[in-house]
This record gives sequence, C-alpha cells and structure tokens, in this order.
Amino acid sequence: MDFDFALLYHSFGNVMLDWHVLLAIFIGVTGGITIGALPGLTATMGVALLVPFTFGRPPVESLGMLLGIYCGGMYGGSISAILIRTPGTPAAAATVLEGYPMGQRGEAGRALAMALFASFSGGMFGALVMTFLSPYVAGVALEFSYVEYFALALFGLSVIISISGTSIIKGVMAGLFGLVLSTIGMDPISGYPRFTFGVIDLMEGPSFIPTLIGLFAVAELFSNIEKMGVTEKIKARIGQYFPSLADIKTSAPNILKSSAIGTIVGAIPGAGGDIAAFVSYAEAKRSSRHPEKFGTGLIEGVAATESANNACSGGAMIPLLSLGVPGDAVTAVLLGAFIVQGLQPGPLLYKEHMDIVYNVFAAMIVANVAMLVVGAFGVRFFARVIGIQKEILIPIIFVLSLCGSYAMRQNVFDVYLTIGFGVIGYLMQRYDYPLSPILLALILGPMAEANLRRSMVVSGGDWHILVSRPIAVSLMVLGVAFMVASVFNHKRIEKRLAEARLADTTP
Amino acid sequence: MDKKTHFDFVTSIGLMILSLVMIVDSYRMGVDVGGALYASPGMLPMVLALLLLLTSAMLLKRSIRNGGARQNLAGFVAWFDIFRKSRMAREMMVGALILALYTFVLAPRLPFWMSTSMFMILLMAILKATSLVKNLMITALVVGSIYGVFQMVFHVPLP
Repeated sequence: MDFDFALLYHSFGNVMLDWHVLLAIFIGVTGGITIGALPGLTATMGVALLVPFTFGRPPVESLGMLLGIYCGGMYGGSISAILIRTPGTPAAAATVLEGYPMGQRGEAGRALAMALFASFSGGMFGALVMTFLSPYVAGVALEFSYVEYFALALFGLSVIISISGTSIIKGVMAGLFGLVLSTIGMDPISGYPRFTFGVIDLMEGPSFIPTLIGLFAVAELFSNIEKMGVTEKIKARIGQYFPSLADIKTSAPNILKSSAIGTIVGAIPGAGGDIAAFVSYAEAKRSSRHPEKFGTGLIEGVAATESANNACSGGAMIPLLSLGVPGDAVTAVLLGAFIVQGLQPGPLLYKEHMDIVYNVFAAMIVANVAMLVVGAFGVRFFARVIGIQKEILIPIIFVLSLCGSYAMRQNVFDVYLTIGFGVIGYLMQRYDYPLSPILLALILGPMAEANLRRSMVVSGGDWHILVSRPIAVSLMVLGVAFMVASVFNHKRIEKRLAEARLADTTP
Repeated sequence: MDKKTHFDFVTSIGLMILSLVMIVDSYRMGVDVGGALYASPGMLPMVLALLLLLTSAMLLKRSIRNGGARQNLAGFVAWFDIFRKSRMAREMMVGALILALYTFVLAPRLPFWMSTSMFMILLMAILKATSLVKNLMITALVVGSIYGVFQMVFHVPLP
C-alpha cells in the first residue's frame, strides 16, 4: 500500500482548519496533562472515562480529543515526578530518578522545560514513524487469512507473560480470566449463549467500555481511597518554559536514540511507556561519558525517559491501526473508541476508511504540537493542580465513571457491570494480579477464537492448516520465543532481587 | 507468613471450583449443539477452564508450601477479622455503601442532578474532604458542569 502525501495534506487541512477538531484536541491535551500530573490517575483512565462521552461527535473530533489525552497524559506524568517525586503515571517513574534531584537543586523549571521539549520531540518522532510505516504494515496484513489472524492474536497473547509483574502464574491467570470473560455471550459461529445464566444483557458479552471503566477507573479509585494521605504543597519556583540551546545540544543524541527505542518498544504489543522509559534510561547511562553522575539530577536522563515514553504512543498506534492489535493499555481503550465510532482498526480500515486513518495521523501530529503549546504556557497551572485533594477528586471521578458507563447504551446493567469490575479490579490489584492481561485477552480472545474456528471449518477439521502458511508459522514461533525469553528474563530479575535482598540483610 | 498467601490460598480454591463448573458447562454446550469438536461453542471455554484449573492448582500448591492448608485458612480468617475492625476498612465499606445507594436506589429514582448532588455531598463528608460550604459549592459546580457539558454540548444521555 503506497503512502498518499496528498491525502495527508488534506487531512492536515481537515484537522487544523476545523475549529471543532482543533478545540477538541486542545481540550484533550489540557485534560490529559491534568490527569497525567495527578498521581493515581493515568492516561488509560482518562481515555476510558471520556470514550463514552465522545461517541456522539464526528470520528475525527472524538478521536482527536482522545489522542490529545493520550499525548498529554504521557507528558503530564513528568510534572509530579519532578516536583513531588511521585510519578503521575507509571511511564514517568524513570523520570523521578533525574528530575526530582534537579528540582531539589532549584532547577525544577529547567527539568520541566526539558521534559516538555523531550516529550514533544519523542511524540513527534513516534507520530511520524506511525504515519509513514503503518500503511505499509497494513498493506502486508491485507494478504492475511484466518490462519494469520489467529497466529497474530496468539502472538499478542504471548506478551501476557512479559507484563505479568511480580508473578507469572498470576499474570497468566489474569489473562485466562480475561479470555473466559471474552467467551461470555452468544457464540460467534453457532449463536449458542455461553455463560449468560439467562441474563439478556449478557447475550452480547460484557460491554467493553463499562468493563474497562470498572477495571481501570473504579478499581483505581478504590485503591486511591486506601492510599489517601496528605497532599504535597509545591514549593518549587518555575521560571523557565523552554530549555536552553546548551541543554538541547547536550540532550539531542539521547532524545533521538530514546525516541527510536520508545517507538520500537511501543510497537510491541503489551510493552508500554514505563518499559520504554527504563530501557532508554539504562541506554543513556550506558552510553554516557559520565555514568557515575546518573541519579544526581542529569538533564540527559530527563530527556531520555521523557522522549521514550512519548515516542511510545506513536509506536503503540502502529499495530493498532494496521493490525487491529493494541500496543499498550491506552491503545486498547482507543480500540474501543474506534469501535464505538463504527470503525474496526486493522488493514481493512485502510481500504474502507482511508480518509479517517490519515486524519488520525494528522491529529496525532497536531496533538503533539498542542502539547508543546499547552505545556509551555500552562506549566504553573498544572503544578498547582497536583495540590488538589484526592478526597475531592474521588467523588467527581466516581460520578464521571458511572455516567460514562451508562451513556454508551443507556443501560443501567452496564453501571452494575462497571461497579462489579471495579471491585474485582481493586482486589486483583491489591493481591498482585496484573490488570493489563485481562484487557489484552478481552480484545485478542474473540479474534483468536473466531479465526481459529473459521480456519478449522475451512479445512474441514484438519489442524495442519495452522502450520501451512509461513507468516502464521513465523508469528507462532515468535510468540513461543517471546514467552520463553520472558520467563527467563523474569527468573533473572527474581534472582537479582533475591541477591540484592541478601546483600541488604548481611551485616 | 504473608497475608497475600492466605488470599492466594482462598482464591485458588475458588477458581478451581469455577473451572470445574466451566468444564461441566462447556461439555454440555458441545452435547447441546452437537457436530465436530472444532466447531463446538464449548471448545475454547473447555480449554480455558482446564488451563485455569492447572494454574489454580499451581497457585494452591505454592500457597500450601508457604504455610500449610490449615494455617492458611486460619490466617485468612484472622486477616478478615483484622480487616473488619480497621478504620480504613470501615471508611471503605461506608464509601461502598454510599456508592451502592447512589447506583441502585438514588440514580434510578431521582433526577440526575439530585441523586448526584446527594452522593457527592455524602461521600465528600465521609472522606472529610473539606468544609460544608466548600463541599456544597464543589458539588454544585461539578453537577452543573457535567450536566452542561455532557447533556447540552455533547448530547450524551445521563442516568
């Protein structure tokens, strides 16, 4: 599939000359930075909360707003990381390492300015790679049959092990739980109702958006009630909005390298901004002339982590748009937003709604520019937002969550579903069961099942069809290799942690 | 012993029972629809239930290795008792009760602005968020904004 420059040019016109779309992007970015800056609220939560409220608007406008939240949320996390040593989002955890010591030295403005510039550079890099690469990936995917789609879903599911957190068994169990949930409702082939217990509202399975809001917003609110404490007051003075030329010159190689790392990590299904930021930080330290100074407040460290986590967003959009497989938790929610608009991400989207795809490219690029503008002029406001008490925020977000889950189908059952999943998600989080595998399984489960069974029907029950196509075999082998590597990596980390604990306890 | 181990012990038993129920139900689906195994609606649920049974058994084995079945059960009961008596748990239970009241009783019966205002004022008071005057002002602002932005601008139906 060739790249269409003329269509991209027109799409920029659609996005920038339509004030509705432009305003939606700016509102999204402002909301995203605010949500990102508030510890405990994530970009996933922000997007999940707003999806139901945007479905009445035209696709470009609503997707533009959600992309704005995504980009803004990724940058917003750095503000609290630098000012109060608490990353606003998991992706900003690595920024604390260099950003907070800079703030302590009285250089909070300098760190924030670099975080914004690096976020913008990384975000633009990722968005440009997405724009120029995904049409080619979609072109290849257009040749896929049921077998390749089944293999692709299996490959996506293999990532569950790498995002299992502290326990592989619990990660796998969470993934299985998600897969079980995805089987609830009418069977896609025979129409037989599975695990519905006679409840009509479950015939189509648990609704995606209310489930998401429950798992990622309500569960997070329950956790926040538990962790409620004193809100920190910001003492740092912020007098700088853009980094100096000297800082840009020092950090440029790291920004470029980390942007590339972030885009690649983002494109791997399941790996998100937190992994990208830590990998880039490690690489920046490894390749530095003075690695011993890392941890004391180095501007290069802030540049590396922030460019990586923002580049991740563009990378994560590549598999979403071209294959229909989300790259991280936020893009999994965005997948729901596309479906709400009647659009199914994947290669066919390029065939049937090419204009929308190019508008998304343009909106993503414009959202990054909007982030630079809003971030520079609003940094003092966002720094003050961190001081808002959780006791006030929690009731507000509860109301938004419940309104959001109701708004999709105007069905009270969805509200009950949201609360139910909120309680399940809270308990799972509290007892070390990761939530991301459920999301991945909910999306990829139906894709795997439907394509497996269609393949079997086509072949008349001959299982050899699954290993008859080279791309499918490659994807399955890659999936197995990924799982084995993740298990070994997990064991290596566990061993290192045990050694570190032993060293700490030895007098 | 870690209290999470007690929870793992109880969860694994619960999930094993769930898996067994799923296996029986999946088998029934196959019998009801008939035809080849690969076309049966119960095929994937059966495979998933078997995998869930296996992983739950692994988790159960691990939790027993870390403390024994009886100790785990006693630990869980003791943990539940401590949880029941803690201040944080009480606050959470009251919060959950208000949420349930809002969802199941107030929202279906009263207009959105009234039920949401009552919910917000109550929850902020329970969480000791701010003074009563500020509480009322914040509630009015939030309910007005949600109603104005979502109902009037975005035309989103509210509960």
